[in-house]
Amino acid sequence: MKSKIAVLMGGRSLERSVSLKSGRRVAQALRGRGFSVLEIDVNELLVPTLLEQKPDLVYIALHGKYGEDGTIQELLELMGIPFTGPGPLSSIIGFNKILSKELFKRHGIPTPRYYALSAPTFEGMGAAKLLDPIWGKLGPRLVVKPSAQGSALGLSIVSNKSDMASAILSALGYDDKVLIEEFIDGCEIAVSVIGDQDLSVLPPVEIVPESGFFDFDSRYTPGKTEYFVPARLEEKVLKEAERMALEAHKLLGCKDISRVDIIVGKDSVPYVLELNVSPGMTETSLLPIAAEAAGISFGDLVERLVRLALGE
Amino acid sequence: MSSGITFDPYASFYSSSSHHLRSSEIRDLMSAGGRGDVISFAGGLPFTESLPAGEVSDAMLQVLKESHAEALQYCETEGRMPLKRALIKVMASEGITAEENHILITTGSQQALDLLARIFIDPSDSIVVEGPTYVGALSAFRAAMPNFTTIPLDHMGMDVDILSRELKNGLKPKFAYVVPNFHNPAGVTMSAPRRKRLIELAEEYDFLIIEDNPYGLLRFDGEPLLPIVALEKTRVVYLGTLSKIVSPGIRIGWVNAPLPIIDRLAILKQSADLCSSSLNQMFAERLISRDLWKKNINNLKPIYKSRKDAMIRSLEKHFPSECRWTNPEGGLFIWVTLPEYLDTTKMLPLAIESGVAFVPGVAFFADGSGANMMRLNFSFPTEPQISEGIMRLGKVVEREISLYHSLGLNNSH
Repeated sequence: MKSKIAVLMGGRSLERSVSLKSGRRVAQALRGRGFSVLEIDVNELLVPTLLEQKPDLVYIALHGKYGEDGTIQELLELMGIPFTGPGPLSSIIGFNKILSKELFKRHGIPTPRYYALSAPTFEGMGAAKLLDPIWGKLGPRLVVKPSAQGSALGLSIVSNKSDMASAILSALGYDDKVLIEEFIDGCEIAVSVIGDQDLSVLPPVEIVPESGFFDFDSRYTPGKTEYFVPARLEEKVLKEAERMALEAHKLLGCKDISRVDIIVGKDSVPYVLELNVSPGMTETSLLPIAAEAAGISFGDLVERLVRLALGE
Repeated sequence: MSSGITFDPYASFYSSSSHHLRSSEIRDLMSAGGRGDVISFAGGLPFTESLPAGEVSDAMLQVLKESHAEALQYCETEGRMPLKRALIKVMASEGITAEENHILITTGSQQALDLLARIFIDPSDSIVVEGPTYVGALSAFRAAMPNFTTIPLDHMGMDVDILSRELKNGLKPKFAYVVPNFHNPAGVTMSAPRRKRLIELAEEYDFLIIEDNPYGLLRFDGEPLLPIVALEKTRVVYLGTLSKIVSPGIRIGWVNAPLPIIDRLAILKQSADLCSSSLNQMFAERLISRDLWKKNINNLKPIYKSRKDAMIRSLEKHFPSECRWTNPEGGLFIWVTLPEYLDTTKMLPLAIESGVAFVPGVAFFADGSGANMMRLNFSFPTEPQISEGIMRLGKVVEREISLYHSLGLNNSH
C-alpha cells in the first residue's frame, strides 16, 4: 500500500501565499503518483490533526518563519513523524543568515563580507553611529536584508550612504536582526543538492531578472525573469560553484535536499549567499527548473524527496 | 546548450499597456493578513450578514418562479427599465431627480470607471483626482495613460482653492474625479460651498465632474448634503452602486449622466459585456421594491457608527499623540496620518506579525505620496476586534517611531 502523506503549507509566515502554491502543486503531484494525500494549511489544529490522521510522512512545503527555521522540524521530530528535507539544526542554521555565513566563513566557503546588527543595538546602544564606518568598509554599494526571511522580502540594494538607515528600517520590519553585506556584482545562480549518502548536484540555474534585481515581483511574476540552465559560466567556474554548494550542504548537516544561492563574482569566485532547506516548488521556482534540466520531472522530484525521507 | 526559460511563453504577445500588471509584495503580505489570527482593517467589505436571509431568498425565488425565461435571457445594454425606475427612487432619497434614459446600468461602479476612462481619456490627457483617491479609480484611469493632477483633501474634501490655482496656471483637465461623501479612503465629506465652487470651476474652465457616490446613504452622523449632480446636471457624471447599501456580490452599479454620454457609454458597454446580468438586475429590482435597501441601511447605520466610535476611542487611547485621523460621519473608512517621517509600507510586515493589517497610504495616491498614511476599515471587524487590533497597531507604530529615532533618521529633517 502506498504511504499516506500530509503536505504542510500556508501557515503564519509572510510567504504564506507562495507556500500555498508550492504545497498545492506538490500535493497534486503526489496524488498523481498514487499516494494518499492530506493537504494541511497549518494552524492551531495541526498537532491534533496529525495525531488523528497518523500520516506516514509529512511533506514540508512551508516557507519562511516556522516552516524553514527548525520550528516545524523540531515538532515533527518530537512527534516521531518522518518529514522531507533537513532536520532542525540545519534548518535553524540555514534560516539564520548570520549563523550560516559565520560558519561558511570559518570553513573556507566564500561569502560576501558582512556585518550583523540587531534592533536592540540601535534602540539601546546607539549603533547608528556605526553606519558610516560600515559604509566605509563595505561600500560603495551594499545589500541590507533581514537575517531570517525568504523571497527577498525586506531586502534593499543601497547605493547611497544616506539610504542605509532607511533600508535597515525596512529589514527590521521582518526580523530583529539585519545583515549588511557588500554588494557583489556578478552572475546569480541557484544550485540544488539532492540525495542522502550519495549526493548529487542538479544543474546550476542562472537568474537574469528583467529589472536587474531578483526581488519578489521578479520571482513570482512569470515572464519577469529569464533563467538559463545550466548557467552560462565556464565549465571550471560551474564545477567550483557546485563544489561550494556541496560543501555548504554538508557543513550545515543537511539531509536530502537544499538549494544554495550563490553569486559568481567578476573574479570567478562563487560567493555563497544562503542555503534554503525548503526550496520553493511553484511553477517559477528554481529547484523544479534545475530538476527538469536534469531530466527529472516535477513528479519524479517530489517522489524522490518522499522516498529519501522514508529512507527507501 | 543553454536556453533561457521565462515561464511565460506568451510574453511577446502582451500589449505594452498591460506591462504594468505584476505580482506585488504588498498583495502577498495582504494574503498573510487573511490568516485567522490577524485582525484585518484592510478590507472594504460591507457587513452583508445584516441582510435578512429569508427575504433575500424570497426575492430571488420570486424572480425565478415568475419570470425565469426573462431572467435567464440577455437584456438591453442600458439596463432593465424596472431597475432604472427603482434606482430613480434610491437617488431621489438623496435629493437627485433623474430620468430613465439618462441611466446606464453597469456591472458595479468599477465597470463605469473603466468605460469612462475609455470614452474620455487619450494618452497624456489631463485629469484631476483627489489625493488620496479611490484605488480602483486610479487603476481604471491608469490603463488609459492620462496625466494625473492630484489635488489634496482636507477635512472638508478636495481643496478647491488649490484646484483653482492649478486651473489658473493653465491646467486643462478632461474631468475631475471626486468621492464627495465619506471618501474612500479618507473618510471626509466635501462641504456644500466646495461642491458649489467645484461646479463653478467646471463651468469656467470647461471640464466635467465625475461624482462617485457609493457611501452617501450610509450617513450615521450630521445632516446630508446635496450631491453635486443635484445642483448641476449638464457637467456631472454621477456614479451610484448597490454594493454598499445592499450587496457588492450582485454587481449592480449605474451611471446617471447627460444623454450623449450615456449613448457613448452604452456602445462601449456592448463590446465589454453586452449587458449586465438580467437575473441580478431583476433580483435587485425586487430587493429595492421591497424597501429592503432602506431596512438594510437602517440596520447598518447604528452598527457602523458604533464601530467607528469604537475605533476612534481606541485610536485616542493607543496611538501616539503626534498621529492624526479623520472622524467620518458615514461610510466605511478612517484615514490615519502618522508623523511625516514614517513609512506605513515598511511597518506592514511588523503589523501582520503582530496580528493586525491595514492598507498603506501610497496605494491611494497617483503621485506616489501618502507614505506616512494608512486606511483603516471599521465596517467589517467587530468592536472587540477593533479595540484589540488598534491596540496592536498602536504598539507597532510606537515601535517604528522608536526604531526610526534610534537609526538617526530624524536628523535628516
